[in-house]
Amino acid sequence: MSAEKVRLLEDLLARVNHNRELPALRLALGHEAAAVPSAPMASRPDISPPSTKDFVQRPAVEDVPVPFEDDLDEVTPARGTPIPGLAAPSAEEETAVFEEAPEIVLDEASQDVFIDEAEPSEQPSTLDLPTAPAGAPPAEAAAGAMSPDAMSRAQTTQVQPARTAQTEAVAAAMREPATQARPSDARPSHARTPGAGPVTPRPPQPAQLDEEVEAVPPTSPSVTKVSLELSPETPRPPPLPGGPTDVTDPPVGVATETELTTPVPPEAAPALAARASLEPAIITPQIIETAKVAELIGEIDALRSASFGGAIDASLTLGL
Amino acid sequence: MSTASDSALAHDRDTATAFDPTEAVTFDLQFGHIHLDGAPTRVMVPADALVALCQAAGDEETATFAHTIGEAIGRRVGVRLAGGSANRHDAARAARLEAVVTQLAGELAVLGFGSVSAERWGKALVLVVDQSPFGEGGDGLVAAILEAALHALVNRHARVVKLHRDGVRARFLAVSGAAADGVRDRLAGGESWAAVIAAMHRGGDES
Repeated sequence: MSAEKVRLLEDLLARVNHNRELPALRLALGHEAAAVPSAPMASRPDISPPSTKDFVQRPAVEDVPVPFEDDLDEVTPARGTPIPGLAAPSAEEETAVFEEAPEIVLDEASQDVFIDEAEPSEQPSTLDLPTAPAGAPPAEAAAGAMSPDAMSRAQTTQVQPARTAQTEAVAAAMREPATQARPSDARPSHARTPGAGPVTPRPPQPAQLDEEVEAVPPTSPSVTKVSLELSPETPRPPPLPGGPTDVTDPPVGVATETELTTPVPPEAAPALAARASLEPAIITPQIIETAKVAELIGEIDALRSASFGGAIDASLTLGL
Repeated sequence: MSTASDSALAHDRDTATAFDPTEAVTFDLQFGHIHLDGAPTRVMVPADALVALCQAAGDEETATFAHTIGEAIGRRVGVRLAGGSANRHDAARAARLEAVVTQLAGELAVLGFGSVSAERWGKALVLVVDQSPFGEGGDGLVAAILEAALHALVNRHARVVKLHRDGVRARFLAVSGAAADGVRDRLAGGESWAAVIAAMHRGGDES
């Protein structure tokens, strides 16, 4: 084992066991992820109280150690350095932190050192974070009941949302129907399904296609399907100002071409049909009755042929 | 072969038939009055307001109002057709139908009641009013005006019944009082106006 690796191992051990100094170090380095660990939690009103066991074993948010892999290579914390604004941990919290800290493993064969953390699939999302019990102070109710592990995972999720196991699983699940689609297949049902979720109006670029798929939230799988059907060689035209932004917005792809070639009946056809059905009912019987009157009466007399008195007398002789 | 005397007679006949609106309406701006052919003052009111007033007043009051207007119209036409003779009723009866209708239409046009013409369907005399400013809601008023005008012309009580309205054209039938109710009943029963006229020529034997 080289001297460099030994020094690295010692630093790792020191930081894992006393990593409560990391938030302050992050603040000192201007790291945004460490500066806002409790902000999202404070805005959640529906925090349910956890069990007493969780509450006892998990320290307050001020004492939460934040192991962050990116910073481990850069920061060498001074052990025991007091951090402004953070209370000193108790012995019980020290123990809890030590027990939940990741284990440092030394591979004898390869002379490599690595941290044995939990599997990514076991990490909960930010929505599954534990909550403080009822009656706890607001700061603790917001984020104080979080375990160091949960806090670290929450920060990791905020920094790299596309790399969480849940997102990866969703993205993998959403790739399957898209890869099975063929140009000759029937039109995707999601393209015209009423009530489908709104689509991000930003048109995907070919170079950003994979990133778009992974960043899609799991609540709108139809968006991912549409993006996967796009051809990288045929970029989607930019949306018109004020144009539609939903799934039916004409993208460039197989599904859209199928829809565009579908013959649409002219809109004027129903109006013409309605008029054709109404006109005979109104006009034709009147013409027939007029001809019938002319046949019965014989002719329509000219107005010049009679005196006014004679015309009035003749009309008054008619009766029913 | 026509002669010069025949042409003169034709010219006199056309001249007598034509309606001359000269000085028919006089606007006295100094006093703010409108005079119609020397008659007392008239007023210009909106047609729709007049229809609304008649509908609010009721049928009887509307008929009284319309008879006042129509009787004056018939009297003026008869006097004009008589040409100064004593009996205007005989003059109107002896006049050609075309001449009477022309004068009648001129009077109604001056009043702004629309364009009047006449049709004869066999024996039936049908008066046609186009572009009435009162619309369909004022057809009853127009019918009552025509009825009063005919009565003032020939001194014979005739009833004028609305037959049909097609857009801006309304047809009214001059008929006796005995047949007026029957015509209205048939029209109200859904029969077309042509069928009613045909039935009247057969004495009402076709129902």
